[in-house]
Amino acid sequence: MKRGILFQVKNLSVGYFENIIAKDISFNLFPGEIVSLMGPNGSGKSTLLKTLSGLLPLIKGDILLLGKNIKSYSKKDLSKMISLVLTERPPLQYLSVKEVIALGRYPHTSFWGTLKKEDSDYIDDTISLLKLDSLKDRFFEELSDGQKQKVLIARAVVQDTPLIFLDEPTSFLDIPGKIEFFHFLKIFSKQKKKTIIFSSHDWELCLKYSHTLLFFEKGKSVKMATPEDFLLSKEHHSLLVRENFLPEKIKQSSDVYPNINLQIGDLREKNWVIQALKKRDFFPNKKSFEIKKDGDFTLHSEGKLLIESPTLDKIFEKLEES
Amino acid sequence: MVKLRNKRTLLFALFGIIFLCLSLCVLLRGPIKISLHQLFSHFFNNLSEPLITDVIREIRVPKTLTAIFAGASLATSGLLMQTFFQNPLAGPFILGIQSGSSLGVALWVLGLKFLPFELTSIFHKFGITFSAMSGGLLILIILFLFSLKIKGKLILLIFGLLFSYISSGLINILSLLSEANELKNFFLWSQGSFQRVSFNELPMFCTISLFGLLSSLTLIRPLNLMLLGDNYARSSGLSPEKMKFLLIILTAILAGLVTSFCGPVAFLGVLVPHMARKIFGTGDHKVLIPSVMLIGASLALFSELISSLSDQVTLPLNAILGLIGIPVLFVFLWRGRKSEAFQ
Repeated sequence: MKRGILFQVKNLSVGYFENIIAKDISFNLFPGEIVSLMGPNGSGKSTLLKTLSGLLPLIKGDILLLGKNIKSYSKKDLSKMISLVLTERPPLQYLSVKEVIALGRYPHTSFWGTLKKEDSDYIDDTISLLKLDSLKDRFFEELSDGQKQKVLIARAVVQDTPLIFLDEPTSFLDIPGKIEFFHFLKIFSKQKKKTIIFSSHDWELCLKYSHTLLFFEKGKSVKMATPEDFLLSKEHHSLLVRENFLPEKIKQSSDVYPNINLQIGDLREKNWVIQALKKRDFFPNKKSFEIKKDGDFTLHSEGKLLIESPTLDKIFEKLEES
Repeated sequence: MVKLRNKRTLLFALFGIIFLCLSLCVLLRGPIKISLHQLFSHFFNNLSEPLITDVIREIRVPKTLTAIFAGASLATSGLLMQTFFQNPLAGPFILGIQSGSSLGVALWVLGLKFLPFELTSIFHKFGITFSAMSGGLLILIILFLFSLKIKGKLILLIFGLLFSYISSGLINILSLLSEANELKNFFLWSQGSFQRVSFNELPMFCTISLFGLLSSLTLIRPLNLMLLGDNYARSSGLSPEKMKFLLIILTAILAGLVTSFCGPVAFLGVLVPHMARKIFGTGDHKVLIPSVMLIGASLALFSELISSLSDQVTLPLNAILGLIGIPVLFVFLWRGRKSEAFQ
């Protein structure tokens, strides 16, 4: 199954005026994909999100949305494709949570902004999806920072766009709130085929829940990879993995995928590969595969070597094709 | 939700009744006594004594309609400015828009004699309106440019204050160069009054005001979005620049029009939006704009009524509005001191 590319970024440099903050950014996004931006403060994550959503002019490179240059979209058309949550929280007086969320329907309403039945339904669904029922009639200004953040996320969800950009959506949430939020992202993007890009400083959760990782370092080019490849490569290992960070409890690969046989010695590495497989939702039922790690990864099927690669990226691509 | 809507309808009905009662009071109240019966027979039967007809036609109706439209226009312009600057302290008087208009009018009225030719009176009146609007527009544009660079909410207020000083300084210098007669005219104008729009000028005043009010009604949807700030507005498909341009023009028309005809009427603009938000319990412009118009008109009628309570003297409008407005404003500021909106 080959999926259509939704969003394409080619050799992009972003920054303010002539001052380039992050450069050499290239990636493709598919429907239902979760991408996380990681890196220290001031490395250009927010700048990238603002540039991608058209709030900042790009310095170099191209952004294609459904194959068309993003510059050729009108503001109105773009607002039906991309929704946004920024770190700024507007000082809204005397607006209830529900009214703030309803503002997200703006691109879909007509001249007087009257909400139709389907608009109201969508808003109500989103409110219960994000568990905001108990807050919906309260005034926005009375909420805590974390609650405000959730309301603004709901506002973006209600905008009903295939792409959602979130700038540090979890910065004000408590730990259970963070886990709950990431869980919501996973289910939501899978069910509604939404593509989500977000920046975050919650390493563990980013690695666990995102399909793709963009890693920002000050003054260096932006690196992109599958999170598990980051973990597996020695180069970034020390950068990312803290002392006692380990993914979920260890399972036999055969428990999850009867047709994929993993022959990886290191239990930790094996576990990351399983995690990556699980996220991708591969259910090969005709052929059986074998993934080996002996220095590089190799993918075998029925005794034949399909591909040999140092990263899981290529392995997955091949798997998907087969 | 149903309950809430009912509550709002009830409030609208209540204020509608208050508004009608106040209009009636202003029509009836004055040095010459007019009874309810005389008023109705004037409007519905066209049968009444010539004196009463004249008083109603030439004085009471213009006064009432002026108060209604001036109140609604000022309150609406205040609301538009508060949304525009994302600043609950904004208003045409406080930010010096009306000072700008005053300066424009002063330049026109006091500088007219330097013109090499005589103007007809209708041209003269039109000149006053136009100079008031341009003066207000100028200050608005300067304020807008400042607000791009400076984020503090109180700073904007201080700028407004400084503009008021500058314009009153210039007006003082201008008045030294003027004759007593012109000076008196200008002084009377600067006190604020709803009684100076004549029956002949009424159609022009009401038409421009109505145009401004109706235009602001068409902006309900984008105005709500503006509350979220420029970035969110842009990502929802709105052009904040275009919207701000429209709002500047509209505010200048509304505030400039009222200032040119009624003088710099104080505090109404900043006060009424707060009252409307508090009373109707919402920041949604769909409710706010109509309620601001209704409350603004009612407050203008009320202060007009107070100012003409005594048969001997008419109290200055600005003094009354100041006495009502400042304490109420103080309470709002005190209550809102912890709110993020004021930081």
